[in-house]
Amino acid sequence: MTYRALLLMTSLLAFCLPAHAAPGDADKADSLNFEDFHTEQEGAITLWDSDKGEFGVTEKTTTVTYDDDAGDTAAPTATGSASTATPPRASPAPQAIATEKPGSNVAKAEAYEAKKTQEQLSRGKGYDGQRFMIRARYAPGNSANAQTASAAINNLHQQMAGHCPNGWLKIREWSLPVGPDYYLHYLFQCASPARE
Amino acid sequence: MKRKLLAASIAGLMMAPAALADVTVYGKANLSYQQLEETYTGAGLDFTSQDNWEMLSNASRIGIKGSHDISDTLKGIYKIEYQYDATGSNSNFDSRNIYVGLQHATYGTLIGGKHDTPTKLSQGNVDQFNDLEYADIKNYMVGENREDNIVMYSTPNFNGLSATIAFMPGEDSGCVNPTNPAACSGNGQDDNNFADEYSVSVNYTQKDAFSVAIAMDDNVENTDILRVAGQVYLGSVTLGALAQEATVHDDYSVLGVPTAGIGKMGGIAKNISTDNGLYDIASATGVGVWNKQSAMVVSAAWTIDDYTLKAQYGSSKTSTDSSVDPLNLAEFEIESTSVGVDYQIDKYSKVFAYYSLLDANPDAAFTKGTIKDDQWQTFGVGIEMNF
Repeated sequence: MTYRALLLMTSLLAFCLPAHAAPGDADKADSLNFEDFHTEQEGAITLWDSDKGEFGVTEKTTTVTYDDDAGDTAAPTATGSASTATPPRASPAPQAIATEKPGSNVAKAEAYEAKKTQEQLSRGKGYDGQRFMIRARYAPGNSANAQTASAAINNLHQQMAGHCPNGWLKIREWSLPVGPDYYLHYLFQCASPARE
Repeated sequence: MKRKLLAASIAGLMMAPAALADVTVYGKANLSYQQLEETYTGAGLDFTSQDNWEMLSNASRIGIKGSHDISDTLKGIYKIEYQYDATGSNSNFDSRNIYVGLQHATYGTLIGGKHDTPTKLSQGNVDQFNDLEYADIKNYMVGENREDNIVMYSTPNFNGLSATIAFMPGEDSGCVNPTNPAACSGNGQDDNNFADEYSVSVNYTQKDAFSVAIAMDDNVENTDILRVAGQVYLGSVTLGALAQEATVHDDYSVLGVPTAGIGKMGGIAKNISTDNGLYDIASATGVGVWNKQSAMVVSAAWTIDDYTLKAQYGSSKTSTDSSVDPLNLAEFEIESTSVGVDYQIDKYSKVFAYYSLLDANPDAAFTKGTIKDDQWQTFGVGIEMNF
């Protein structure tokens, strides 16, 4: 493959991408803020998705549905995502919603189960919808502040069903200690609306 | 061969196994359709050298970037960015900033490759007409350099404060031949050390209020520079200013001229280009021995809904000093005035129109009464699309 052919291919690929892109990247590239430039931008065109281990042109933005400091077992909140066709069923008072790169989360290294993800991916094509990160607090044993693990999982599944009425692919799950309890986190991506 | 290796590298990135990190493509296309006019005036020299319409690609580019987590706090980063001609007039891809490096959450970023110097980037967005023909500050101000073989370290952001230092080897051969000195080529500086050229900047930004930077170059393109730049954000209005002093690094080189071995004191620099802050007025005068420059820019931008009105004025005075010209007669001044308006179609696209006047005035004594005035006028409309 010649140099020009390669760049032509790359250019064509870039121009064939979906309408959503990260408009600030070209300008941020001309700055000294390397940290910002190498943080996943909202709407960035990702050719290779390391979370899913998958080629594809995706808009890799994750909506986090909880505050960092909130010690709750939050039900889903409305995100306004264009990819989520139906709003979540339960919509309590909206909490602060941030957008962050999953890879920057400190829990990433603790939770990544590549093999399992690959197995899921083998039957998971078509999960191109909005990506979410949710969590629920639980206690392995008895606790006055938190629900049981099974109740937390049930809570998370209710949230996922609210966010992704067409189904979802759970990319990753992990737990982080909070006091005597734990937060169980789910990172998942909704099925595309057209998926049957 | 190098290009084939590069192609193979990029292809490798795009076809790598599952362990590969995210790969993201980005870029922009910027096209303008503009009228250019260049006129000389002087004793017996009044003529128009250009008066036509052209379509220009203004630093259109495509890049690939990526990173992967090495640990919770350390990640590898890379970027490969090329400039292309969106008009099709030039089929070449020119390398822009290209690097590979490491980024630590606490200790900052270290990269190596090809990159704009910290001094160049210290201007932030003071140059409201960046990349536009005859309006970009590079037409009249030295220091707008993108350097090969650069090693750059950038600190983390400490509540708005950050610093960047870069260095490069001069890559002179180190050749020593007492019996035949001419056998050793180079610019006479014997730049064969670990690091011969430096560029440093310190930046402070208070979000939505102001940003300020101070930067210096030492021996970058044979030039030493001290630059101060800043912007103030007053709601919908942004004001910017930049000032700098530049001097030739030593007695063997010419200000802002990158090629070694040319333009020695008393000689003639023949390859001064349009991109080194001297413009071709320097070569037009036939001397090209410039060793100091004072320059400044002020700019303003006013955003009203989807429109941004922009205005900018810049000037530079380039001269020789008494070590070159005992009478200290040689100098020329360039002034640049630009106005324009952008209309933001959506967050990815905008259209724009601008007018720019670049006016070079050599002093009469220096030019022996020949060229008095040299003007470049530009009016253009264009579109920019980011992806």
